[in-house]
Amino acid sequence: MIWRLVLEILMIVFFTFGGGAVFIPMFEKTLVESLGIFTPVTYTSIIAVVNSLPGVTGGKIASYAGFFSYGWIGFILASLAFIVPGIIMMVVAYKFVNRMKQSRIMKDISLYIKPIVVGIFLSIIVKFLDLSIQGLGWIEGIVIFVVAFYLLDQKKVQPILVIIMAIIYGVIKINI
Amino acid sequence: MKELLELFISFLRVGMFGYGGGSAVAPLIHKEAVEKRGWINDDEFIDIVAIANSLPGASMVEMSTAVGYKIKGILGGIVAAFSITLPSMIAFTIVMVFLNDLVSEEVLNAVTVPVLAVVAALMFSLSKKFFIQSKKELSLVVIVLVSIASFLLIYFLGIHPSLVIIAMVAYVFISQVLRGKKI
Repeated sequence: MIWRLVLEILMIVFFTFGGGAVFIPMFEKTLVESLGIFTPVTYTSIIAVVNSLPGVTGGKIASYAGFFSYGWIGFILASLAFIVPGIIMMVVAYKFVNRMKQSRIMKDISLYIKPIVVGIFLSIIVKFLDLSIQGLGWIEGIVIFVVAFYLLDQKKVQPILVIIMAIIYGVIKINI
Repeated sequence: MKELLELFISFLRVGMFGYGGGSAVAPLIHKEAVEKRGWINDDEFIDIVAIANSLPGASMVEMSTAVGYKIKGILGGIVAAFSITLPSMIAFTIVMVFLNDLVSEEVLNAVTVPVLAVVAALMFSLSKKFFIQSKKELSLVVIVLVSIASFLLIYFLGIHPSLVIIAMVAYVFISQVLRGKKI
């Protein structure tokens, strides 16, 4: 039974073009519907917490499912099943891209890849701004964004420091 | 050995503060791998982000693997990938098992929401940098058109970034074939 879970995780990681938003429904299908490890209610409460903690969304769900059903052995196997495919795929792809590096086509591709990555980043920026405006209101959301941008971009404050400041801000706000 | 330890410390830090998952963590990797340690340059970083977005699986695992692999081969890749993922997995499991009844969803949400605004600012600062760099290689009109098109396709049409990258690669390939250039 534990191998079934490992196999399902491997299948998801190898065949899903990732991102937490994609992993969450994929794991729901597997962990709730096919394997029955979690009830729908438990899964919903897991998702509520998973997005509020740092780290890899899919990896957190997979490793907790491993622990929940088979203890620390399950945790270790589920974690390996989630992490190892990414390592293999990246090493192969990275070697391939570097071998092609001198070709004409790669030179043109690397020209256009920067604005495309900027577009990918913009889509996440807008999504996160939207979420923080929904949670905090227009003024507070925008003010935090602008102040954080000023500190990071102009004052070169360490990103982790600014993230900690935001966490402290959130904690203080609840306690008032 | 020193480099493996540095990989471990850097990616541990990214994993512990990497809110948002996936590409949202890229600015923290940039800070550690490009700015602090100088393991890779900006162009290599962009390549790594693009490859990770084009592959199935978790981008955080893939981005960290590439940096580690470049510095210390397979072992470096393994150390980086496990350092960025395992601590948050262990922390999450412990929170779910022991603290789930103590911490309410509202409290967690109240902490996360301001952090997301900061992550957006972090990504905006890095995007600005790449935008300026890109001006040395492409005309402003092309940069604006490509980045806005990429944004619109992903955000409004829900197209996966991997498909946007594949479409661009196909465009470059076809345009070179049509112009009769040797690839």
